[in-house]
Amino acid sequence: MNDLMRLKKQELVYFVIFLGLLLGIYIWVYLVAPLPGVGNNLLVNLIYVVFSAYPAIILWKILRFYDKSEVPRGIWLGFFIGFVLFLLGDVSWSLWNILFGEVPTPSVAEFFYIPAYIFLATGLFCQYGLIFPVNKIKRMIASHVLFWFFGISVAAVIVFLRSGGISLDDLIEYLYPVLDLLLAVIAISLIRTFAHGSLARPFWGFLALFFADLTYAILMESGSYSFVVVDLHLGSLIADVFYALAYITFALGFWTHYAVLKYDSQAHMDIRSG
Amino acid sequence: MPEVVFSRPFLTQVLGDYRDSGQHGLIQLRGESAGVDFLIVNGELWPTCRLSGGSAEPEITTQVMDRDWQGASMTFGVLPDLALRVAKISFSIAPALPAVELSRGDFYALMNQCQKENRPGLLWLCCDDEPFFFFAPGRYKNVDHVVDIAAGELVADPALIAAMITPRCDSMQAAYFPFSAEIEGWQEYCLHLHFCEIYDAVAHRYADLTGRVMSQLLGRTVSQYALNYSWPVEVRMGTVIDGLVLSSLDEYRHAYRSLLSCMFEQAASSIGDKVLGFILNDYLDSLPAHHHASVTGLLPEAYTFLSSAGES
Repeated sequence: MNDLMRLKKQELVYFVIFLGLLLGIYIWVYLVAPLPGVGNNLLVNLIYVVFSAYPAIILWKILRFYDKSEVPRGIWLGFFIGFVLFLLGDVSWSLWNILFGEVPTPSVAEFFYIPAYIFLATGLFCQYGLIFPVNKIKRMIASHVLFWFFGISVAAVIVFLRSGGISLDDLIEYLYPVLDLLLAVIAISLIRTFAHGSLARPFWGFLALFFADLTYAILMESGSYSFVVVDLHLGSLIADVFYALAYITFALGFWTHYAVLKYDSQAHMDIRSG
Repeated sequence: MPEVVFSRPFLTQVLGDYRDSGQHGLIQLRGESAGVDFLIVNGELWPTCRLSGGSAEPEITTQVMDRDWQGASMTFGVLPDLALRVAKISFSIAPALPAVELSRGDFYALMNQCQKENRPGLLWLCCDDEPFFFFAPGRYKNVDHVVDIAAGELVADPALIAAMITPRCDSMQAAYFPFSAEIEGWQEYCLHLHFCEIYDAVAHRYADLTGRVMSQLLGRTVSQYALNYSWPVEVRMGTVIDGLVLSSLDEYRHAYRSLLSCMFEQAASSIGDKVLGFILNDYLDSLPAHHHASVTGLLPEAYTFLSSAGES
C-alpha cells in the first residue's frame, strides 16, 4: 500500500477515535454532570461547537480543490456557507445558554439557522442539477412552483400567526423539521442516485439532521428538554446527541470526499513520478 | 533481410519456422517480370498478398504462391508488432489513391481531405525512402497514430505527430487506403477510436460532476493501470494518448476493456454505478446506429446491459 494511502487510513482512524472520544465525554457529562456550577453546561456547549465546526472546516478544505470556474464548486460553496451559518447559530445559541440558561425562541441563533437552509438547499439543487441537467422550460416551471409554494407558505404562516392559532416559537420549532424534511427528500434522491459512490455519504447527514430537529422540536413542545445539564436528563441527552451525530455524519461524509481529493490524487501522482 | 534464391522446399521450411515461432513476418519474392509480398501474422500466412506492379488489388495468397517462381529472389524477415496493423490493411485492400508523386502542397491537401472524411483513412507517405503511415480518424479530427517504420515506433503523442505531418522532402510518394469495416487492421483501429471516444465522453461528464481534481485523478488511475501492464496508454491533460501495439484483435479488445473497467471502477467509486450508467447511456444514445454495436461490444461485461440503449 502506498504511504499516502496508509496516511489516509490513519487519519480516518484518528478522526473517528477523536470524534468518538468527544461524543463519549459529551454523553458522560450528560449522564453524571461531574462538574460544579456552570462547568457541565460550558463543557457540553464547547464540545457541541467543536462538532458543529468540523463540517465547515472540512468543507473549507474541500473548496480549496476547486477553481472558481468549476461548476461543482457551487455545491460545496453552498454547503460551506450553510454550515458556517449553522456554526455561528450554534455559537450564539451556546453563548446564550452558558450565560442565561434557557434559550428563547426565536433567538439570535435563528438569524443564522434559517438562512443556512437557503444555502444548503442551493448546494443540493446544484448537485441535483448537475446530474440531471434541466432545460430552460423545466427550470422556469420549477422556479415558478417554488416561488408560489414559498409565497403561499409565508401567507399561510402570517394568517396563522395573526389568528393566534399558532405561536411564533411553536412555528419556528416545527419549521426546522419541515425544512430538514425538504432537504432530506432531495438528499434521499441523491443517495439513491449515487448509490455506493462516496459522494452519497455527506447526504446521510441531512437525514440525521431531520431526526435531530424533529426530536428537539417534540421534546421542546412536551417540555422534556432541559437547557441546563442536570444529572441523567434523558430528554436533553437524546436530542443533543442526535444533533452531535448529525454533525459527525456530515463531517465523516465530507471527509471521505476531502480524503479522495487530497490523498488519492497525490498517491497516483507519486506512483507515476516514482 | 536475408536474400536467397527461391526454392519451394526452402519456402516451406521458412513458413514452418514462422509457424513454430508464431512470429509476424514478411516474405518478398522478386522475379524478372513480377514480384509479390506475403504477410505472416502470428505464424500464419495472411490470406491475401500484394503484387508489385500491375493491379493494386490484393491477390489470393495460395493462388499466387502456387505460381512458378523459379529463379526469383526471396527475402524474408520479422515484422514488428507496430507495423502489423498497416500491413493488415495494405495487404487486404487496394489503395483508393495508388502511389503517386506529390509535392509538399499536394500532400497537405491530401491530408486535409483525409481529415474531412466521415470515416477513418490511412495515408502512406514515402519521403527520402523512409515510409510513414498516418492514421486519420476522419470527422475533422487530427491524425492520432503515425507508424514510423524506419524508427520502429508508433507515435501517438499529438505534439510529435504535429511535427511529423510536415514532411522533410519537397517531393514524396503517397497512397491512400480507405476504411473497410471487414478488414482486421481497421477493426483494431476502430477499437482504439471507440476506446478514446468512450474515455472522452465519460471523463468529460465526470469532470462536470466532480471537478478538475477528480477528473485528473481518473486520468492518472487509468494511466497507472496501463503502466502496470506496460501498455503505452496515457491520459495527458484529459486527452488519451494511445500508443498500444498488440498483435491481435482479441488482445486489443481485452486491453481496452480492462482499461475501461479500471476507469469505470474509479468513476463509480465516487459517483456510483447508477450515475455512471446514466453517463454511458447518454453517450450511447448520441451515437449513430452503425456505431452502436461496435461501441457496446467494447464495454466491460458489467455494463453490457446498456447495449439496448440508443438502439431505438
